Amino acid sequence: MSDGAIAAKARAMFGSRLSEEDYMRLLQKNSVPELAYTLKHDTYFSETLAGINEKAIHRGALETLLKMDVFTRLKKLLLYADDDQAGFVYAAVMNAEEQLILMCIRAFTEGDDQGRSDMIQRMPIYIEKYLSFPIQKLSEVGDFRDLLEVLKGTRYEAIIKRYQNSDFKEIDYIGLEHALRVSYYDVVLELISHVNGGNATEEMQKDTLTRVELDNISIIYRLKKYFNGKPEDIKKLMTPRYALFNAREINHLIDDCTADQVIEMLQKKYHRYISNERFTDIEHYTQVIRFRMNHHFIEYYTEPSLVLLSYLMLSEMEIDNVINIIEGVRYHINPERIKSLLVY
Amino acid sequence: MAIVKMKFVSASTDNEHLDEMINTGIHSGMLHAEQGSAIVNEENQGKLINEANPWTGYEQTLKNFAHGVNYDLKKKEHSNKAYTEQEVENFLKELNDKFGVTSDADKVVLTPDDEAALAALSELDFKKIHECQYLNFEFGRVPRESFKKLAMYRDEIFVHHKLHETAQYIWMVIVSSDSYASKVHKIFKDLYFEPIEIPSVDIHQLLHVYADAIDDVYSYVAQENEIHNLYPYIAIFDNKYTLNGFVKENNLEQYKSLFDVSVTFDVKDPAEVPALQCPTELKNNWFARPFELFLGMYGMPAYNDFDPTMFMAVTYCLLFGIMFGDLGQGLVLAAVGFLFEKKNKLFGIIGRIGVTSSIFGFFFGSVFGYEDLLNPIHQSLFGVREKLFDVMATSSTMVLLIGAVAIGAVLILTTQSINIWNRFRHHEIGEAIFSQNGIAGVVFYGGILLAVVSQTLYGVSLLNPIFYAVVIALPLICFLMKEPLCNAVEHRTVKPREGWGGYITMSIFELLDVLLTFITNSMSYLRVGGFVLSHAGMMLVVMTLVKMTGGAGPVVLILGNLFVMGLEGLIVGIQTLRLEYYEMFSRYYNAGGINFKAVTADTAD
Repeated sequence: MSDGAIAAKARAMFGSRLSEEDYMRLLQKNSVPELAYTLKHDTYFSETLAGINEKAIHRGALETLLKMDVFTRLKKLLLYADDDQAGFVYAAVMNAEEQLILMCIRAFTEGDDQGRSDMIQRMPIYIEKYLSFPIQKLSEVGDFRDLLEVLKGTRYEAIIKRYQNSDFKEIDYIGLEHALRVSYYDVVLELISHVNGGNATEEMQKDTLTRVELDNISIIYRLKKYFNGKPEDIKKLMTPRYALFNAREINHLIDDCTADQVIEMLQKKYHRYISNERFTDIEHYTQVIRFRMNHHFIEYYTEPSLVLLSYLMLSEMEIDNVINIIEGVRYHINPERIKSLLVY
Repeated sequence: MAIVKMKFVSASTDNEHLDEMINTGIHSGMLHAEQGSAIVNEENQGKLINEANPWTGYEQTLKNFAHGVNYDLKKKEHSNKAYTEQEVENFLKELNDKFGVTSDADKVVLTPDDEAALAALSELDFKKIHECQYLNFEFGRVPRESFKKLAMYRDEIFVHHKLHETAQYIWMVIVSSDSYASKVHKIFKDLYFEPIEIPSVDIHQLLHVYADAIDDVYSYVAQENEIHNLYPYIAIFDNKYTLNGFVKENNLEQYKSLFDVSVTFDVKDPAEVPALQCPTELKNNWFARPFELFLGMYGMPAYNDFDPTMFMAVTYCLLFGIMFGDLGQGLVLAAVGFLFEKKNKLFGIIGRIGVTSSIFGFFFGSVFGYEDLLNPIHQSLFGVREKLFDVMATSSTMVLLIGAVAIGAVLILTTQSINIWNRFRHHEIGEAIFSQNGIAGVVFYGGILLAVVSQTLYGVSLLNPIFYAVVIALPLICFLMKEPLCNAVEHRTVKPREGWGGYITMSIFELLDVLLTFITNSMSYLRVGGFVLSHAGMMLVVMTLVKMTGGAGPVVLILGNLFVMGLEGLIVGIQTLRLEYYEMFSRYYNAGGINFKAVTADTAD
């Protein structure tokens, strides 16, 4: 990404994102076919949705197409980048591998046909060639030995070996999930460290560390608020990476603060991004922070890697918004409630 | 250079022969019909047909049905029989029952791709599929992404067959045993399978049986709909139904002969029906006919008005020829124009301006940019030292520019004269005498031109008190007092509508505008000279490039000429049109006519 072509193109594509009016128009729809029609005819998704039968399309198929659209755009942008540089972007924006491995383990440990079907349904075949192992083989996995065979040579092999257990009831799912998450962020940060972007590299690291930190705070809040979690249990789930908080402050949140005080501390640290945002839900709150941070990067920075990374983060959030609307309309949720979940 | 004579014709018949009369009228191609509402008034006590048209609904229903089953309706010239409304309704019901396809457009969900897949599936015979007792068939489409995942279910007991595909979907039929059907159904549901019902009958086979009947009913319904749509053109007088409109005078007898004996005719001159605007059809000779295209773009002349096509054709060709004078390029334009004249009137125009372009090109001695090629001919023909007129010579520039203004002055005076003649024809005496395009305008503009020419060419000054009084003061007073003077000669109240104060104030500003317009109009013709120089300049550039490029010279010469013909030809064409529209038409021509348009079945849609 030696020149600004990718950044300029990414910014131009960002300019055609859904506007508030578009979201309001979508919220007024009463059914998935109506939403599909509007998305197909009145938004920039028309190219992706060309040829769909909007009267009959399945909600899940529509969501898959929208998710594919992000990767189609990514592919267009990466036409001008070399493979090594492109690699970190894929790694940075997707953690589908971890989710599929967890689903696979649950399916074979519980002997659950539906679990297997869900895993197959969620497999992003469209990015198969960019992934580190053949995901389709997961459908044939019947035990840990099969799984390790599929994951041979990948960074997951050692983690799975650590957590495999012949007694399926004794498997530490939470620990496994945490280990996969820590490993994922290590890989992303390692890849970013190789990008030669000066200040932008720091910002990309900051962006990723913020994701980690917001994940940590979200876990602290939820465990304190809903599960009355013990500090030692919460600490086990922390990813030891920090952005605006330091290790001592995170420990203070875990050891001494209530859930509401966690939010107060979050508001203090991230006031730049959420000063005028009322707290309703921790997921929404952290998404708003990430949205505004990336919006700032895409508007004020010129380094292509950072702009591209921000664009993809924002695009994923946009797709999440549309999916929230589709689900909301499908299950007849009050439009005001759906609107409160949107981040734009 | 004329407008075709028209007659106003009222064809009358009784209720029984009404549809036949309308049908003959529609297909005659000779009648410019007038709406019944324009004919009927309180005075003549006429009535209009006021009944609902059920045939529109029937036609639409048949079209919806055809769309639903992907059938291409064929309209026959004559249906085999006449159908009553009840018969048509029964037929539509039968179609719905047999095909199981609703004609309600909102409920049609089968796309052409679904149809293609169904056609492929029909090889299995829908009836046999439905008769299977132990096998379960599912038909529908899956997203491509899901299709790739089918390989992961290879252990499951079902078979599938691809029938059709697009960029988004794959249409397939899935067959499983009845005992596995629900499991297979669940798998495909998870893969976002969109099921499509397998019809119990093969629509394509059924269409073979019904095709002729559908086309026959459709032809009759469509014809009835056409006729009923034209009912607004009917006026009723004393239980007689009349179809009214204008017919060309020379088509009148032929038009009348098309109807049967039940129809009687009342023929009038357009002047006898002043409430209706008589349409205009232009009749021009071979030379002027293509220029009707440009006239139509500006607006048709009214029926009793003057057709300016011939004048426009002559002036357009003349001005274009001067501005684009090149013998070679002109001949190319003429060849292309005359070759494709039948395709479009624009080519006819190109052919004619190509001829004048060649003529002026000959006088300028220019052939595809070669300025010396015709020198020997000029020397032998005109006895000149080099060539008749060297556009690029410094001494020629002023001649060209003054010549252009002179052409403009002549054209302005000509258009003023046409306007005077036109105004007198329409008995608009005031406008003919006192306006800037009337006699006052001619005296003012012509007088000043005469004085300038006399002083410049012969050294004789015409500026004396009489000249000032007659050529300057008198016309200016006429311009200033035009409205009250017009009122006076046309026997209306002399006092202007705005009152004297308001009128004089407004007239002073208008007078300034009139004087400025005379100057700007004259200057506007400078472009004629300008483009002569521009054309020569562009060709000089082409010839310089030809010399510079050595071996590639001939290619550059051809491309350069094509470029100049394309670009400059277009610019000069547009500029000439601008002169026609703004400098000439604005002085003598008021569009406002309507084109003669024979009524057809589509007219009322």
